[in-house]
Amino acid sequence: MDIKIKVRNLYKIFKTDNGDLSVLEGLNLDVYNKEFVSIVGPSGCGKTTFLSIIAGLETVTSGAVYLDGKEITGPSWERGVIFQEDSILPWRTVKKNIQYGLELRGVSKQIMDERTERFLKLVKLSNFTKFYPKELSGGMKKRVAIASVFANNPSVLLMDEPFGGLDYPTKVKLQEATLDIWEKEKKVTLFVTHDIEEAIFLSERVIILVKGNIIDIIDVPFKRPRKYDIRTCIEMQKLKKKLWSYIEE
Amino acid sequence: MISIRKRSFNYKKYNGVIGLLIIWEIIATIFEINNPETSHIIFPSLHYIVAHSIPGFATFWGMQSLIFGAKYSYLEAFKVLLLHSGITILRVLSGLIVGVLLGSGIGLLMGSVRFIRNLIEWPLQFARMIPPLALIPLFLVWFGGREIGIFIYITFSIFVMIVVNTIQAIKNVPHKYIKYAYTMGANKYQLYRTIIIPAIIPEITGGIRVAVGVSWAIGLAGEYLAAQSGLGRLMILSEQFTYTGRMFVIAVLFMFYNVIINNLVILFSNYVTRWQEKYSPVQ
Repeated sequence: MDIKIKVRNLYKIFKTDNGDLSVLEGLNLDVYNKEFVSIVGPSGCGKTTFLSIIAGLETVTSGAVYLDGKEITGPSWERGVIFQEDSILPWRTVKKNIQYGLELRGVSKQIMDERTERFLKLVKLSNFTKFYPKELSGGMKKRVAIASVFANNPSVLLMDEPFGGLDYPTKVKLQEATLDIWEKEKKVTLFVTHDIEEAIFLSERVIILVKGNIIDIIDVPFKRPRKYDIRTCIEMQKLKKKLWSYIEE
Repeated sequence: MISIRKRSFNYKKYNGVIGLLIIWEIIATIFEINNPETSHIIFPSLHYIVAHSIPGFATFWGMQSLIFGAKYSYLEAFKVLLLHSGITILRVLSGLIVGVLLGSGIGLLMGSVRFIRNLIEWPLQFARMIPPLALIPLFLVWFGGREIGIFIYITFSIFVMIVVNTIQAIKNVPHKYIKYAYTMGANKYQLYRTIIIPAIIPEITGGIRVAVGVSWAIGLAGEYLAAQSGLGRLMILSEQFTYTGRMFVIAVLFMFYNVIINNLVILFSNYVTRWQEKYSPVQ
């Protein structure tokens, strides 16, 4: 399989008033095409910083990240990000939000309408095109965010604890919706979370990041498409236990 | 969802106003019976204002009627008030609109081009510290009582207010939207067009609402001191001839115009910020 994202000797040190704070300490990682990879770890392990660097929103102290062999130096539409906080634009309606990226890139009206229609349907918001975000529930806003980023057709998807603040049923539905779209689009996805079950349920591989180092990578054996009962099977419990043993310390 | 407004007419709100007017009329009438000579100068009754002060504005039609007097007439008075109201409103609105447009435009330019910001940020901060009224004598020296002087004076004062407001608003734009726009492929120009400008609109419209009040105040001050026309000028004339009733009439007119313009600005700002969640702590 082709390597899509290559991380080499990545160091990140934040300069603070209380001295240097080393967040990432020499990361190496290959992410393959069409792969769904989760990154889990205790809070403060550097997972969000790692994702920000790949997004191009944060600089590296040393080392480099390559996408398709080219070094990442800044943000680009090729790497779409779904943030934990609501980042959809409150002054745009649902439809205008989903069009946003395409509009920026000057895509033709026809393609724009086509793609917007398609993703509105995929996230089941076709009846809410003219609504403003303030009129939507938390779960709906997240679906708009997902559709907006997917509609922009990035080659890599970065998700930073996107379902962090949501209640369990909403979260489960959104995870299933994410997998649904992912299976249709097959985009390389890096998914940062502190929820072990979520990580296992969604991904091919789970990367465990502790104190700025990758301490293990676990392959998830479940076949796709994945259904809810995976969450309760014995295999899942064993994986959860293994992951928990890393994070607990 | 939260801001459900009652549209039905609530007459109870006006009880206080009506009560106040009745008390005024009673006190003024008692005063009038005891001091028939001076009561209309010190404390005119409402019926005196309607019967004498309003038609009396006819004597303010040009120099000749001012010196030799003119017949009291509601029609002539109406013409006088219409003319001078028009002049004042035109001055205030033109200064306000040009000031707001210039202020937000230059503010945005300062926010996006570092060179321009460095050049004018400090001079502006100093200019902001000068109370606008302190500048009237200076403008009088420069422009005399000419229309352009009053216009520049109002425009300048509003401009300084709105520029500072705009720069602050740009600083307050949540960082998450800026990051989001860049990861969606925005360049710097697109960032301003699609993120910064819509995000600062609520704060700017708040600034405009304050600016409306300020522009009335400084417009009036300009007319007191420098102009030969406008409601402010009529106010000064009334004061010089001790027409106290007419001063009340002008004050009520000001109130009336201010309410109209304020409501128009509120309608406008509610429309441009319709996407925003609104919480009203006052029921």
